[in-house]
Amino acid sequence: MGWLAERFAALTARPAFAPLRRRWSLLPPFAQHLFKSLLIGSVAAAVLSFARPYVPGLAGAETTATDWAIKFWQDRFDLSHASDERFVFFDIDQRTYRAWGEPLFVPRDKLLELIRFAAEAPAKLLVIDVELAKHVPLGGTAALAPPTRTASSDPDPDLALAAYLRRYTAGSQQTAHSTSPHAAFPHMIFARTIGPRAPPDAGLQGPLDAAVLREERPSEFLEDVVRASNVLHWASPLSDRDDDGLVRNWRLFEPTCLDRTPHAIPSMALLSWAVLRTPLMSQGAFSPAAFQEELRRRFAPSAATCVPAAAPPIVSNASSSEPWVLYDGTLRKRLVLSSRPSDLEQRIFYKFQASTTLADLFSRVPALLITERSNQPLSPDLVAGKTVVIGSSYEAGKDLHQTPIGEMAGAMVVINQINALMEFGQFQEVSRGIRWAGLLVLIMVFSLSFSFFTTTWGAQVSTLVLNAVLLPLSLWLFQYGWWLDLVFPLFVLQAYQKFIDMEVTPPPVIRRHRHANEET
Amino acid sequence: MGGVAALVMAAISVPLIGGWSVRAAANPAPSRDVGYIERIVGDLKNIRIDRQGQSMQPAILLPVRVDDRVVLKRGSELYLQLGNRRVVITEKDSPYRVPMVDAPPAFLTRLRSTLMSLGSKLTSQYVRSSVPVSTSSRGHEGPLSLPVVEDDVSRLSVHRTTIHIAWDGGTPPFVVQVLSAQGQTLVAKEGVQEWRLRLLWPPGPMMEGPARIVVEDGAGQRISKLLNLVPVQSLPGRISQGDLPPALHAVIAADQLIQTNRRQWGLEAYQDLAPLADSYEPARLLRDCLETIPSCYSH
Repeated sequence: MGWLAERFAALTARPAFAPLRRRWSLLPPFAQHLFKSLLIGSVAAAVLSFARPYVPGLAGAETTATDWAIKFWQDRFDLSHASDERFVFFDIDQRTYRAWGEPLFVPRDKLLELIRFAAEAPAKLLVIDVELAKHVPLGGTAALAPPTRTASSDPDPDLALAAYLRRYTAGSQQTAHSTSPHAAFPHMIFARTIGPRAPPDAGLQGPLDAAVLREERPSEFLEDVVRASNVLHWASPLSDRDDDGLVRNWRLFEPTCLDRTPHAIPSMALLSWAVLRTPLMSQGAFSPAAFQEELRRRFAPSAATCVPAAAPPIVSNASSSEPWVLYDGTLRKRLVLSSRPSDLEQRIFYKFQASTTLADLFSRVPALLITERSNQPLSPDLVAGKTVVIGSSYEAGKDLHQTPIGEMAGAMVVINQINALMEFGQFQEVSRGIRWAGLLVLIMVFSLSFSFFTTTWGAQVSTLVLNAVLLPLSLWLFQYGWWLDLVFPLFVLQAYQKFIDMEVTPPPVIRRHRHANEET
Repeated sequence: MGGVAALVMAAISVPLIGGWSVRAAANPAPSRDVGYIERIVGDLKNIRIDRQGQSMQPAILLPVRVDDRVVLKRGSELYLQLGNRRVVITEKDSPYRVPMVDAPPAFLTRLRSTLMSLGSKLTSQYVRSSVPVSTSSRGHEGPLSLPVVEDDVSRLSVHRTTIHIAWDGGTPPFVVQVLSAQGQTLVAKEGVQEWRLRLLWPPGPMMEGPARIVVEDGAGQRISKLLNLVPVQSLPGRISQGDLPPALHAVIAADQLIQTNRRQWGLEAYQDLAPLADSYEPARLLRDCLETIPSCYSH
């Protein structure tokens, strides 16, 4: 640092800078000190900005800060948001699980009952966060009943579900010309089973790289039904879990292989958002099929990666194409789909915790209230016009996840993702211009406080200003999906302080306090 | 640094900017749903829900709104899920007006409480606190108590052939007696070394009416509580659980009794749970819960 100062002094000693030196010498000491401080602050900010990815602790501190802001705003309710999305969670909870006889798979006959109830209410959208890849011929209550009864009268519950969905599709197609499919036949989004794609000869010892391309597992009994339908869709239930165990980020789509062909599947949240918001598409009017096709066209991996004999199944560069920018007309915000999204773009703004007080926006309904209600009447009013998510929270289901606002069921994570997309969109940093303007103002404040006070007190005053102004402002903006980074200015302050300690040691103009060890 | 900011922000007790209310945000508009009906006990004809002068047909999952009026007749109950609370309405609460649910706090309230908590964490001194624990065998220290029986409130149906009793504290050996209203010993056992006991009722039909359970320990401590022996018809109606395993059915039935009125029917539920507790984990959990002071059901 001393070397840098010497070089700077040598540079300014050149004859070309003589007029500047003369003017500088005319400035009062305080102004000289202030300008020096400003210059140092700006250099510190610029250096930190360029070296941002390599500054130890900065990324972690920013993650912690956003976690804290999300926790701060949990259960947020805004009267001005009259069109807030409303959710009902059909929860296969511990009580329901026991009442259903603790089955290995979610009984499909019970699931059918839940789906039918929500569809006929009718819900606005139905998201089924339940594993449906495997055909379980005698699952559910049929398996518990005496054999004579199941064999003779009850159909296979899986096939009964498939048959219902086939009829549902036919019904939606018949009424498609006369009424909106949203009203009478809500779209249904089913969780696709997705696993890592391992080469056939990899065996059990095959390496599981995080970047390995994933493979969709076709359903053994619903594949044809969903493929032929315009209201039934598969979607990815995957999210990102950080190395500290917290689920913070969504994965808006997944490049995959499906039956050895390249494919890309939207996440349940993204597809829900698309179905409900119907964003403009360059190819014409929005339809879920067109949306999924465009997603596949843009982000599917190259064909070679899905062939078993091909090179190691790493996501190829072919999938890292240009970002796809969609526009949410309601939020007036862009939604950027990219194979390399920024960390902030992926953050989930969790709003609903498991015991939320937002009764009007979110209702958790134990599934047994619907399936085990005896002969009591059931009202569809709670469900009508809302987004219904069916999922489980029973312990043996292993679908509980740690999030910044606490542990919650996977379906709750999905609800929070959908809500975050609908209410806030992707998080966006305040524009670069505003950020730098704000930072320069802060550097001015730092400079003034370091000029007026001793280094120790200057740091205290600067920190106080940061906390008292930037912290509330950042938190307030956060509720609108904007992130005003408060960690970076704190790092700038620290760097600034170090520069000051090393280089600028002129006597402060006003000394309010003098420490015993501060001999000047 | 945060502590200084916390102190400054904590001092802010008035709105800084118009619209940033310090108080909790207003409740949702009255027309909005605040919960739903979770369970209906009794005949539907005995339950009426009025909303702005209109009568609503009660049904499971029917949304309820602020100021809905619920009228119940004898023997009927309504379980509501209001926000994150469960509310049980019985005839004595009728007519019941659905209250507003707690609204989430506004921005400044959140900020103030966050900074206050941060400030208090930074400024408070660590105070060492400890509670004595035993690292040897499980002890039953403390005075003699009988938590499974609520004095003069507990009810027990007369159709049973046994009675399970549990107590806490005291020093063995214990003497346990069940006395009639007239003070006659119905059943008794001496020299009991455990804190739980199963007693056989005397053969023949049991008389309805009050009875008294008395437990006396080796150190001379004595506890006595009154219970009411009632006909089996007095038991609250239970919802059919379908084809469930008998043990699970019993636990659910016991849980229903407790949910109906823990103080009245806790002892009756205890009779269902105690025989299963050694072989069925859920029954053990519920039994232990009823034996605890205060019971986990009282929260």
